[in-house]
Amino acid sequence: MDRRHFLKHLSAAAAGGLCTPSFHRMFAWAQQGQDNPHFFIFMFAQGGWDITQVFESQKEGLQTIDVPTGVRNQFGPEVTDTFWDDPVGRPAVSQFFQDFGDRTSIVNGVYVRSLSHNLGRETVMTGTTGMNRPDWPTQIAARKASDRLLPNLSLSGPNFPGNLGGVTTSGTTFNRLLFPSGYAPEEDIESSMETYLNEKLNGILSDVTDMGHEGGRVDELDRGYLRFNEIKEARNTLNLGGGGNFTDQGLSAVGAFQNGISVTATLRVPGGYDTHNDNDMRQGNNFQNTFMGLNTIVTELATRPGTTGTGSLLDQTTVCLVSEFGRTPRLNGGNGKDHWPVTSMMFVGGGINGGKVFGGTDDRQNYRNVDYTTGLPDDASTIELATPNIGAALLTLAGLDANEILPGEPVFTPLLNMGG
Amino acid sequence: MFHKPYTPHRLERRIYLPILSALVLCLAIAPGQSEPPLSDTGKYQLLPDHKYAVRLAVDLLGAHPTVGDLEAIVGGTKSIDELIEQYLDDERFYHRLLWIANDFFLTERTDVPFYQDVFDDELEEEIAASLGEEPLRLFQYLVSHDLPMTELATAAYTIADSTLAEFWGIDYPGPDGGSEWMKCHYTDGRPHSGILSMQSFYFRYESTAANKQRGRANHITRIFLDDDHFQRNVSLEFRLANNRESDLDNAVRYNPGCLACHSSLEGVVGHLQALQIGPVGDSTQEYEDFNNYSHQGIERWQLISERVPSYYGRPSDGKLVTLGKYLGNDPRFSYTMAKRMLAALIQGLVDYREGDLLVELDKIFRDSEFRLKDLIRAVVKTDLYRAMGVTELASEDEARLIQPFRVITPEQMATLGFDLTGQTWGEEDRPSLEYDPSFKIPAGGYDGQVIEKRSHAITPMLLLTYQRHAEAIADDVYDFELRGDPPANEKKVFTLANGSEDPVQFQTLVKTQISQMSKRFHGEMVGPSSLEVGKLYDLLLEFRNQNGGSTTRAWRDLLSLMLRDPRVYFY
Repeated sequence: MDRRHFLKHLSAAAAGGLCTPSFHRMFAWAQQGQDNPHFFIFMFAQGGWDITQVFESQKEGLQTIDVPTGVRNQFGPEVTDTFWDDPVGRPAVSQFFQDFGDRTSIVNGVYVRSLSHNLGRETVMTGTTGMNRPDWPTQIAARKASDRLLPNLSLSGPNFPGNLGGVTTSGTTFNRLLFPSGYAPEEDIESSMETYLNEKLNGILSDVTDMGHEGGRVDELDRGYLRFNEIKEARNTLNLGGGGNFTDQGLSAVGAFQNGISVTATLRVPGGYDTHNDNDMRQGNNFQNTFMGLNTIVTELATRPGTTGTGSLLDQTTVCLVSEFGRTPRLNGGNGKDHWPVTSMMFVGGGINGGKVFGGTDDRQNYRNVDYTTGLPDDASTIELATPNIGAALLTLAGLDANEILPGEPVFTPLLNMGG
Repeated sequence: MFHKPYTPHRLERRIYLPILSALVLCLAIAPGQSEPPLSDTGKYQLLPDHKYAVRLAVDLLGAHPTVGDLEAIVGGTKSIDELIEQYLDDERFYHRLLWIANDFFLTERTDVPFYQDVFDDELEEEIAASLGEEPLRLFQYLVSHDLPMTELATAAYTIADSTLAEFWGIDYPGPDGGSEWMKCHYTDGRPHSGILSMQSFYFRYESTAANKQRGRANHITRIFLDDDHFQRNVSLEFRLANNRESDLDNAVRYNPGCLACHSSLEGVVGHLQALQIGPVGDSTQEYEDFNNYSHQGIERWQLISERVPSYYGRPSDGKLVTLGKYLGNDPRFSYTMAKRMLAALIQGLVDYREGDLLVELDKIFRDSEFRLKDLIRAVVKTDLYRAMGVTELASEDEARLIQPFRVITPEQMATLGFDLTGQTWGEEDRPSLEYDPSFKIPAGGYDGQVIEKRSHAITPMLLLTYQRHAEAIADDVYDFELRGDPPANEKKVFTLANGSEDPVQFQTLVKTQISQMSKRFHGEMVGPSSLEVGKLYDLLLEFRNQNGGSTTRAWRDLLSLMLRDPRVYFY
């Protein structure tokens, strides 16, 4: 345990808990020019989405693939840069591409290698299964911002912290835990309590270190309480919002980025995408609701100033919209679609090569190999596009060495616009 | 006496903390006790008896010792061995077993969206709860009936409540709607072999058409033998020429990298082909298909795959019963149980460096004919379990798993909170810290699906969650015991005072009440006139002033404070 932390407990005990140096630390992060992180919001559509609903827009007229009602609509410079539009049934989708199409990339034909919900989620978020590998947001938060107050906000959606769980603040109840609706001691009483508890904590720390323990759990105890006290002290400033729905959680993440508290966040988008029956109607509703929230969150990012001194927070943030797999090409007897190991992903915001569609599937919705220089489907290529390749690109965007974390995995660089 | 290694760090501490250290009570050593006892080997500093009793109670019961037991232990009228036996026969121990089992099986939380057409919405949670518990209840049944744990893989019956029985088709002998878990049988003629024949297990661990039960087979070897094929260090060529089934089929038979796992995995897979792969749909038809054991499946699979069932190279007829016998007789089964129990109870990552101890525990377990109580008894009596520090005689390997304290798990905190106050955060029969992942996970728990491992890390979220838990149950005590008028025998906290007495006028009574609470909550043998109680008494007066003179509200604040004390979390 270093002296700084120990003295922190001492000062908190002496001063009654409030107004400690942690405030300065927190705001220092948020000061322009002092920190230049890249933020990520991972939005997870749980259940497995139908890629023909929005992303794979080239499939109408085929006998082998059932597509929903709608039209193809161009949002990027090339004629192939299109999405599947239905302005009447899903106006929020149309509106989103109208507003942010030039900041958006779609990646089709991503091979997930699984038809299992659990394994699909793990593969999409970590690039593998069964290895206890931390997911992308955890890796980024742990390696780039472990000293932040809440480095990775896993508010909802899947969470694979692996061996880096200490940086993750998980649970949809985070706001409820921070702002309880029931009884909580008054502020002055809480202050007296903290003084007492800090004395107890210091007693424990003193005794266990006197016994020869150091590092490990002793440091954990010290740092855990330090950060705990900082969170409580800063809770009114955190202003993460009290709501628990998708949009509220997204706005909480935006606030946490801007205030220098977090660098990554994971949210679950509305609706269950596991549409084994009534596929088109249910998927359509889900996409409408998802894009409605997405619009609000991305608009907020675009409106707020970044922490770098120039540009908006959106320039500094990448929103990743993903699902654990896709759905079968054809409708089943219940007008549903079942699990399919090929999916699409969508990326919005800073560092993304916007207005583009990459990758693709064939006439039977199998993934096609891609040319890693253009990102476009290329049947002469021997390289497929799978979840580790996307993950490697995101890690690169975060300023990490993807090869160190995913040795040998090609980085899907066409997705990135690092100079923009 | 034990030797404290000199470090400059400790010297620094002495400079900064001369007064504070003298004022505070320490975690491990009660007032009046000087230094912790040493193990016979002289290598470990052990918890003093009363703290050892607390650790045992938290681990075995999810509770704290009664004041009577603490006083008996300190007074020498009850031995630790007697206390262990008492705890191993306690009903609360059997409840703890469900969570200990779930750490292995990860089945407790099971969603049932597939079968939404089969039952009313309101039944969904009830069904999900029962499905998830089927394997855990067998584990509990075996321990409570002193049966060998090998029956996990060989029992010729299952354990069900009426909900589970109705859902899967089981001859439940209890009344309609009965909640008691009872020994019974599937009615579809399947051969029973413990968990291997439980439909709920395969509902939790589903397979897919493409993977042909391999995932399930791996879960079986992982759970029973600690042989997780995913963890094998093999060199693989993932980018097969195509995703055609024939390519994959050839690869798992002939590709050396693939064979490193599939040579053993495919033989186990062969035993599971009588079970449907699903569920893959959400219709009634899917439900009926899935819940159907087909004896023809094994032959069909052999015909298609040209492979026969086997058990790590040994011949098998492919029946689940045969697989169960192999698993129960496999020396890795008992060793795995010993390793898991030791790891769970010391909250450490046990490996080859504990080899000697594991061999010893394994022998005890096998000599007892696989009785889990014997294994647990042996573990909690080890120096490793009771230790809170080491001396300079301990080697680096011997010291590596020794931590000054354990961190309470959310499930333990839930039952401890109930034990101390009679109140529950969340629903009474499904407390939030036991059953709600949105509260459990921040506190280091798992849901068994997305988060599969328990964390014992001391995180801000753990502390925040436990603070809210303390406040919630303190508020419930306030409503029930202080504002209500329950019979005296229903009060768990205010057993001496009623909470409305003027604390100045009734100072002795109030201090005695606080002393009683300190013993229960913190395991500290402090009297009414102790410094510790005096400090808490002063806080009560302070809180009363800050609450506009309300004594009952001041008690609520004091109670929430005492429940948030680090000595409740770390034991």
